[in-house]
Amino acid sequence: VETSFARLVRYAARIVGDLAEAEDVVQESYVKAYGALVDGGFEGRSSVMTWLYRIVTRTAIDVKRRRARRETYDDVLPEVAAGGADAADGHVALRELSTLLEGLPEEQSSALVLQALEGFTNREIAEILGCSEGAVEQRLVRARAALRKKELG
Amino acid sequence: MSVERVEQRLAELRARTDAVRARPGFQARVMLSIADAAAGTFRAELSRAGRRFVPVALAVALLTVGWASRTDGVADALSSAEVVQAELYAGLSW
Repeated sequence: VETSFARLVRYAARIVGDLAEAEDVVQESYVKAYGALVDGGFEGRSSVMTWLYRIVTRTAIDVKRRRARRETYDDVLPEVAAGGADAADGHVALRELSTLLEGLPEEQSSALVLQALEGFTNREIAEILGCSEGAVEQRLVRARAALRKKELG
Repeated sequence: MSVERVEQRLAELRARTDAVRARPGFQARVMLSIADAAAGTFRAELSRAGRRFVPVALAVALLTVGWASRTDGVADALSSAEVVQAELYAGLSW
């Protein structure tokens, strides 16, 4: 359980760009997952981890759309400083990642994060995002093209 | 930015964000919220079951009261007949 917590929090942080918000996303996702398990919503067609990634992705996208970007970086940094220089740099990197992915459509940025940062294959990403492998490839190509264009512009 | 530069930047951000961890106490917070959700589900189920049970219980209670009062009436009639019979026997024995 601890491993899935750690992976999902890090993934959610990479999507939303903020640790506190990522924790909220994962907490909400686990409650949703519990509700789905009780209602028989998990059909067992994918692995539990893939299923959890799917819930976290949707919740993170919802949260990003619902809330304006939280101004918590300054609040988070002092807490992170207690965790060491690596952790503090991790949060600066989250901020940089968020800036890099800013403006990309959600389906492109989540596909890119899942592939380039989480290390999933296109097939696994297709399962998580609920689309075809072809659509994943297309999203990744467009996301990378947008990043190149963004840096040139 | 070249293709290589994009990949390099993503790899760098991957390495740097690998250290991101949930804050202490987060796991307990999640477990508590799941426990809350579970309790909420149980209360909702109980309330739903209760709503279904109340009309049935009311009907059963009304039927029981009706049956009880009817039985009581019969019992009263039977006991008064026994009294009359006893009085008759007593009268005859005189």
